[in-house]
Amino acid sequence: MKIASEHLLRWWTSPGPITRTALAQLLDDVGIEVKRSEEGGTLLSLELLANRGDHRCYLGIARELHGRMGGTLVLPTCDPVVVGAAPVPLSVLSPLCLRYCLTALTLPETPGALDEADLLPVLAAGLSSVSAAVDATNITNLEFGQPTHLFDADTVVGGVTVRESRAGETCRPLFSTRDVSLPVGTLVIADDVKVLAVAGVIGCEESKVTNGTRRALLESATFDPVAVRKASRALGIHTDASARFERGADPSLVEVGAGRVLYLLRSRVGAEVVGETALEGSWVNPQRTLVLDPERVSHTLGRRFPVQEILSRLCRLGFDCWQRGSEVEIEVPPGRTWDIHHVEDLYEELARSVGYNDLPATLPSDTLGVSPTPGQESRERVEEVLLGAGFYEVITNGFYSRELIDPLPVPQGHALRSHVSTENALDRAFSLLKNNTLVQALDTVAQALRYGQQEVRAYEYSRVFLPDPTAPNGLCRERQVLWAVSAGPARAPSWQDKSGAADVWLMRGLVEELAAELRQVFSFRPGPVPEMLVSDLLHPARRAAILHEGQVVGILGEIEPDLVAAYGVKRQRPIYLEINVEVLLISTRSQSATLPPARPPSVRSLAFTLPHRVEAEGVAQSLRTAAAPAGKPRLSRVEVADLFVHEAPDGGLASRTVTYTLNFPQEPTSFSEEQINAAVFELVGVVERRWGAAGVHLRGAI
Amino acid sequence: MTPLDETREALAALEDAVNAQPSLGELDELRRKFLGKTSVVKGALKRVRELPADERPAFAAEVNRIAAVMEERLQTAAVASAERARAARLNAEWADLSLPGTGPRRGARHPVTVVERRCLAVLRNLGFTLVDGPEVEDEFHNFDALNIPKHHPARDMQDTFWLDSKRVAGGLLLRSHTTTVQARVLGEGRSLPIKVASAGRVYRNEAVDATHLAMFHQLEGFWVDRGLRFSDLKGVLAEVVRGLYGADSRFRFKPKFYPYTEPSLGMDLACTTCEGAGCPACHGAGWVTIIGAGMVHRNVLTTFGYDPEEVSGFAFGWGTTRMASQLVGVAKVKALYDQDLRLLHSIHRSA
Repeated sequence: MKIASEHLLRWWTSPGPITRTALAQLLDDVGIEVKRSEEGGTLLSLELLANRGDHRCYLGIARELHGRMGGTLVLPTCDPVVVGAAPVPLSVLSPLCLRYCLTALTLPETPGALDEADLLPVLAAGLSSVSAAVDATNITNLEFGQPTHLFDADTVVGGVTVRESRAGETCRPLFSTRDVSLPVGTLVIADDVKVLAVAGVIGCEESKVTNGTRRALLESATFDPVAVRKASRALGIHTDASARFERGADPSLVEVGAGRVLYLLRSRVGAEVVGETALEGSWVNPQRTLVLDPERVSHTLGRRFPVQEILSRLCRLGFDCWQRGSEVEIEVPPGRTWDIHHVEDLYEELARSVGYNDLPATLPSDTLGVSPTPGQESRERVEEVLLGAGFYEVITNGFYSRELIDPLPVPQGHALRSHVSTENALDRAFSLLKNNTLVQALDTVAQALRYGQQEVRAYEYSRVFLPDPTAPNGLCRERQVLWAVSAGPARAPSWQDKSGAADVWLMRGLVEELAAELRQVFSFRPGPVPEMLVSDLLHPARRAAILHEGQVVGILGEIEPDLVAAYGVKRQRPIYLEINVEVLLISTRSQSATLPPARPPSVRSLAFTLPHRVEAEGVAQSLRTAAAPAGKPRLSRVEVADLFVHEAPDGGLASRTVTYTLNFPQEPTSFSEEQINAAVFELVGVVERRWGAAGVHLRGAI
Repeated sequence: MTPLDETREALAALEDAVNAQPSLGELDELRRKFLGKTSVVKGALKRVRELPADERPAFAAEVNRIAAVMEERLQTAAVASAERARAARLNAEWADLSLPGTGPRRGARHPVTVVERRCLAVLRNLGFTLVDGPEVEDEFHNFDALNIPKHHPARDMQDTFWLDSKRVAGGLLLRSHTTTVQARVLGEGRSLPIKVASAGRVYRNEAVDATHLAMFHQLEGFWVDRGLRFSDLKGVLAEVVRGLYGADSRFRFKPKFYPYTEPSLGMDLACTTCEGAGCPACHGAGWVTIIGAGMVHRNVLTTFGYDPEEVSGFAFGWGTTRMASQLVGVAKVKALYDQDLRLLHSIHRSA
């Protein structure tokens, strides 16, 4: 709302001189936020509190300032309204119309105009002057917060009825060139044949006043806020009147509003009232009373509030109040029945009238600190590993568009095609709640490459939404995941050397580091991972399940090359990792360490040649689990030390030679070189018996 | 020429030789030449017997002195030579440290997370424990329980993403604020005091542009107990802001409206860019609203079975997205959510 500070100061006389800057600060301080000050502070753009319909006019703002500062509240002149016989037959058939008054008047042949001073609030609000009649209603709304409307009486057929609309009913709102359908039950003002106005929202073209109008009917009314809100939303029409009514107007102001319009039109252009004013409606002043305990007020606001001060402040704000014993009884004025329900609402009135900044601040005694939750601690630790490996945290949306998932190489009916949908998204990009994070990971890579960023390392703690009618909410389960993606060189490229590409082993190493940080054991199961939704989006020969205590808790692998190409990623083979956050939240095991041996172990190497698709870990496992007779050297550790890929034979697949390092402890029993060598020989036999048929053979021993 | 003259001449020759800065190898040669078995010095000493007995001591003493001088010259030259050799070697090992470093590069948390962690740390110090909540919510926890009835204008403040009504009866939606966690925690019927922080993604069905997002981050805290007061809320907020922005930060309070609190307030911080003078970052106001807060509305307490005559509470929250944008100086917050690694690199690497 935009107001003229000069006009405001006509309504409220400050107890002392007040500068424009001080006025703006004062408005801010009472909760009427000055968003912008123009023309040296003569024009103020205000942001009003959503619950304070009464603030949407000069009277409401002036009353707020009066409540805070005192001074004088000056109401503009209104003509008296004589309630009596209706100028035309009037029926109010719906309880959604709270009060309705209708006055007949004649307008002069020469339209005339209002004074420049009268028009100040209209022009300050950014409205144009239309005609004296229309301007008078606009002024009244801006000044009193009482919307009024003029009908051309010569267009009204029969009587005026306030009722709810019927099936198939239409109207043509002001400024519209087409009729619109009215939802059944919309509160309307109608004559015997047509709708004259949508109550509280807008008038209609057929009955509007023009410069040729000589006989008019002046409506001043209050309608149910919800009814107005529903109509406004259904028609998509938002007006100053609907904004006012939706927040609850003051039913006691309908006569005042009519009186102000009548005064302006009579005194400025010579309009004349014809007969008496009809007044109908279901509203009865609820005369809501509340009782304030000054002790409780003082306790809550942290400062002593004597009874007299409470009375004085609330009276200035327009409340009727009186002392009863040690308490204060307050009657809520009709215009505030929409927002004053409880004593706490009055606490706020008192706090505002003092100024929030002038109330004390205290600190409760119970402010001892607490430790981070296990989840917070775990996440910190996991992130330290990721950050140390050069990963950047990104934040992706909780949803995506259908177009983004179209390229997925999975058929209709696949779980990846099942989503929770948003019903009313303004943007198609938000039509589906994501059920996986791989698509956005790939999108992150594609975007980075588009921008020339070759080294991509990104991660996110995110959520996926998996449709599940058996979920407690009947719709979906939320699963929290940690995902990471890497593409480009394994290390930051430098002048010193050119690193190889980030690959699945780099990502596996990251998982191993996470496991070490959390003191957990993760194992890997190469191959398809049906437990994970994105398994089908990974390279079939370069993917593995991540297991914890035998359960699948994650997946890693290279993103399927065709899918990568479909997202516009060229010459890169992004690697994706996903881990259920739950597994990262498990409490980390207690730390324990064993002293390293005083005598270093004996170390031997064995190199085996493995045909294509025989896993190195299988052979290593055979070595680890080989039984050693009592009193003989026993292996403590087997590690892969080297790998050599042989040239593939014509039309065949390349075999690999894998060199394993074997550690034999020399404590508590020490063994001779010959004994160690004999044990190695035994292990060769174990491998050849287990893997010989698969084509594994010894390449060399050191 | 006497043997003594020859010896003195040899000393002069040695001094000439060592002045030529010989290498360690050449010094070995000089040692053999001037002090070795066939050297002039050794020859002179062999000829001592040829001298009269009374001249021998003086002769021998002089030859030995010259030999000692030679030895000293050679040793000095050896030290100098070694130093020259070392200096030459080190010089040859020159590394061009103007070249950029090649060590492993650390990544970085997202600025929103950085801000969220700072905020949560401050709240932890005041005793607030983090609680998580679902992002898919029902109408009750997002609106009704928080004193936002159907058709209330307050629902306009938060345009909502509604979900799949075909699949499930009743209104499910994406939470529009983290206050849902307050409703869920109060719904658990916990015993007092309840001191909880919540943080995370929230969703608003808005047209997205550079400064408006359909998904962003919020954080909030709430405290329910017996005897909590409006002044306590102000005191806690002051601690929070001092914890986040420094002990000398300037702030002010102003009335606000939130349906789930009464009285409600907003907290403004003197613009950190212009320190209150007014600038584009604060739209000329000199102040930036950072926190919304208030005393928990009695309807909220009543909904969850707490007697508002006995129990009171307060809640406060703010947008961590906005705070992060202020922190890193990125006015267009959408950029922070574009997964743009260039921007994240530059934020992380900016001095």
